[in-house]
Amino acid sequence: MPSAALELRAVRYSYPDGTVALSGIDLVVGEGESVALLGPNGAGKSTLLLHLNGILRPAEGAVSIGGVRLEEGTLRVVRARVGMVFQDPDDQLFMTTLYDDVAFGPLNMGLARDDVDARVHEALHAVGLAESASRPAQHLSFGQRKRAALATVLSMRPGLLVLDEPTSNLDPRARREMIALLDALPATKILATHDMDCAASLCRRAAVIDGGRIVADGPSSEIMRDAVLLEAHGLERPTATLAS
Amino acid sequence: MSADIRPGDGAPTATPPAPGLHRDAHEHNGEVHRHVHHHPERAGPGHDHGHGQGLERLTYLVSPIHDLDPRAKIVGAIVLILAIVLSPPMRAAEFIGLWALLLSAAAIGRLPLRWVLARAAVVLPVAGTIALFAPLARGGSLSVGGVAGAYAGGGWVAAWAILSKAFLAVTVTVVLSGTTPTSKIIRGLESLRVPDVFIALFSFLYRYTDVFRAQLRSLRTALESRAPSMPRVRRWRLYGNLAGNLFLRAYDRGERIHQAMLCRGFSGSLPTADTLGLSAADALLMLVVLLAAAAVALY
Ligand SMILES: Nc1ncnc2c1ncn2[C@@H]1O[C@H](COP(=O)(O)OP(=O)(O)OP(=O)(O)O)[C@@H](O)[C@H]1O
Ligand SMILES: [Mg+2]
Repeated sequence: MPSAALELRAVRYSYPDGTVALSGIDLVVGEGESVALLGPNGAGKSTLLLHLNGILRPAEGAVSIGGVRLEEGTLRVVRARVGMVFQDPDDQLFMTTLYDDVAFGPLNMGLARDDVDARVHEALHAVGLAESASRPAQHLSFGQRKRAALATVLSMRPGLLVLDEPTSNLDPRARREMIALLDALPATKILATHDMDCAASLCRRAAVIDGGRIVADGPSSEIMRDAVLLEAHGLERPTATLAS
Repeated sequence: MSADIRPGDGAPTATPPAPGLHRDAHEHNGEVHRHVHHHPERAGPGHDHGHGQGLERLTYLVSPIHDLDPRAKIVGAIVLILAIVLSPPMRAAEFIGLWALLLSAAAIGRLPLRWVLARAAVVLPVAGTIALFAPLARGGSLSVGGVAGAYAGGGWVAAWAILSKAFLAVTVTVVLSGTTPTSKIIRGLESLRVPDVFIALFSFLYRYTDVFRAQLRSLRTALESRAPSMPRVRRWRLYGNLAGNLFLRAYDRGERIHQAMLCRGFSGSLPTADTLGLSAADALLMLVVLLAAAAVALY
């Protein structure tokens, strides 16, 4: 059996102030899968995602990415493979121009300048912002910044894309564009979201997390039809499914 | 970011460029610019690309001053400012000479004269207020006789010194920042061995000023809308809380930025794609600056 893109075994985590955020997470995601992580505010979604490239370390349990166990010695390898997109693009765009931001990862990987240029171009093209390469992030609209944040990890050609609320705060058109954009990307994806339509159209599989535990995991179509389950965990059915 | 620093390749290229990212000089809205820009598959005339407006736009222009190595410009600016600040009060000839030197640098750098003057004039209210106290400090008084009297004579010289020096020193930084993209200033500071901490501080200051201003505005709006008519003293106390709140947010933001940097392989220094190289033009700049500094200091 080929190694899974991502594997969490009995992962527990508490924040330094004592808040228990994850209490025993088991999750295996295969290569090429797209998984939606659903759950109410404070369920532990963001905390789980921060474990996928070692920003947070589990107090107990283990995390493996592409068969590589995450530990001190493997951090660099794993971080080159995992593309993490934060919820607030202002956290991700910290350089003086869009070019510099998108080049940040490839330059840290030690690539030559021509390769860096090619990757920046490819990534900016993918998100439709190539013509803004020399603009500073503060001059971009929120939707553009959200796409730019995605480009900063696409330039590292990640095998696993980790997205925290990729459609939050976007207007309807920007939201549709973001969904189409993500759908076209071939990488394995795991995304935390409150946007049920986004989850339904991007992910065949959905996992519901609440109180730091995975309470349901299965095909999106089944999870999203289960009104009792969704109701119990502060979620609602996607409007697209309701209509049909 | 941006272009190679190679003097002499200021002319736009004639052959249509291949699609992709380019760093060469190009025409854009009737101005010749140089910065990283993009050409789509069908590169025709009027290809569209955006970049920073205002100050950033001026830094993309192509001129001999823009072509200079940022390190030469930074060191030159520091030497000039030191000479201006440390010299005895300037005579009119010195002032005019330095002012002419700076204005010609600005003109060669294609900076609009009005823009340079407006930027430099920003310092006048502050420096003017300080300068006004100088005659008083030397034993003058606010009465007409005091201000115009014999005692105050030395004070007026001090006032002139403060005003003229502040104005010239700020003009130096205006010319530097108007002809050098921020990312190149950062790159220059880096290779001048300025510690990484200061460089990160400087570039984050540039990037996040607007973000914090927006946060401050929204906090103030929240405060005003919940407490429209509040005695001033209580309001000021609330502003104290607001500052604390802003600090906590800034701290959180810093932590998240650091996480985002780690995710992309950050290991201590900010990487940029700029390459630097000193040329004869940079040596010439240093010579001019040193001569001017020596003239001001020794004249
Ligand atoms: N830095 C922190 N320090 C202490 N506790 C935290 C911290 N960050 C999150 N928590 C707590 O951990 C729990 C899980 O939070 P997390 O941010 O993972 O939730 P989430 O599912 O992402 O929620 P949301 O949908 O609101 O983003 C919550 O109880 C939260 O209060
Ligand atoms: Mg979250």
